[in-house]
Amino acid sequence: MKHILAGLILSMLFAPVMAEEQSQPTQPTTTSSPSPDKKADTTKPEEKTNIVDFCRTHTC
Amino acid sequence: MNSLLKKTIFALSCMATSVTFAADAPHWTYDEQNVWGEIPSSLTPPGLPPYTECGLGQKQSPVDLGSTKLVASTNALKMQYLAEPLVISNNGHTLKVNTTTGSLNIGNEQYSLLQYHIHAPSEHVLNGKTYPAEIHFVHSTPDGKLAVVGVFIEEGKVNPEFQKILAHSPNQVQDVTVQGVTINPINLLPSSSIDRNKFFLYSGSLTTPPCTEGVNWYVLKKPIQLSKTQISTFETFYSDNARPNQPLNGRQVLEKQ
Ligand SMILES: [Zn+2]
Repeated sequence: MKHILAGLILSMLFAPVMAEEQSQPTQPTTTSSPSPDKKADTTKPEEKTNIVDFCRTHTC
Repeated sequence: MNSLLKKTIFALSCMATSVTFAADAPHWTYDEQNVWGEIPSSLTPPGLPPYTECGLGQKQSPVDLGSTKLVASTNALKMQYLAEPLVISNNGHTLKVNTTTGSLNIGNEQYSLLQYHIHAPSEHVLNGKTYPAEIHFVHSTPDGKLAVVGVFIEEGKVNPEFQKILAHSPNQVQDVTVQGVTINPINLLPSSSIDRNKFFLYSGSLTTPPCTEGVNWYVLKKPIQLSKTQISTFETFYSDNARPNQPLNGRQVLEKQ
């Protein structure tokens, strides 16, 4: 019984953190140069997608 | 119910609450801006670029918008913001309103409004002049291009729409959906579409970690007004959540009159 409860506690303790830390689904993206100041965009496509998701949920 | 089970349920309920806060806890603070770029990637959210751009980036935001090149025409901004249920996040860095319906057209490109949030004092400055606060409307295209519209706040009349944010924001780090209240962010912009199309434009970055560059900034020239009480009420939530000016490093700020 104690082991089951301990396992339950641990799973509840870490579940939200793990949910937050799951990487977002990625999709192929195309990059176009931003105006007005063209810049070599070194951000990886999956990171770009993640930044959009990140900006939705964080300050950004 | 035996006492072990009761104790366990109590412990679980305490933990569930604290974990909610822990999961939302800030990974960085405004007091440690000089070391944002040194935060190890083991402490940053997976899938994002490391925070090194905060320290090494050459096109960072915010900037002083005082030195500009006038342009007669550039792509117009067409904000199509709609009233929607008020969902506020106090995320430990700012008050943020989450949105799902707004859009912004710039030329042929359509951006979705992701969220908007407030900094006090303003992050952008004009020839060294700081405003009491600044709202950032964060937009993205489906392929991940970011455009942020910045709106300065000056002291003046009460803004009833902004009052909804102040009245319903949680004091703790928490997200709330406010039942029965809608908000239309168009009422947090200058009322005239002409004023919504006089702006400073430059290429910069997110002003918070990961400080990602390639963000197109449109900072409106016309501030909106909040009352003194509204500004001071916001400051009871966050009073110094602004990144200081970053060097232009040769970038040109365009000014659309
Ligand atoms: Zn911001």
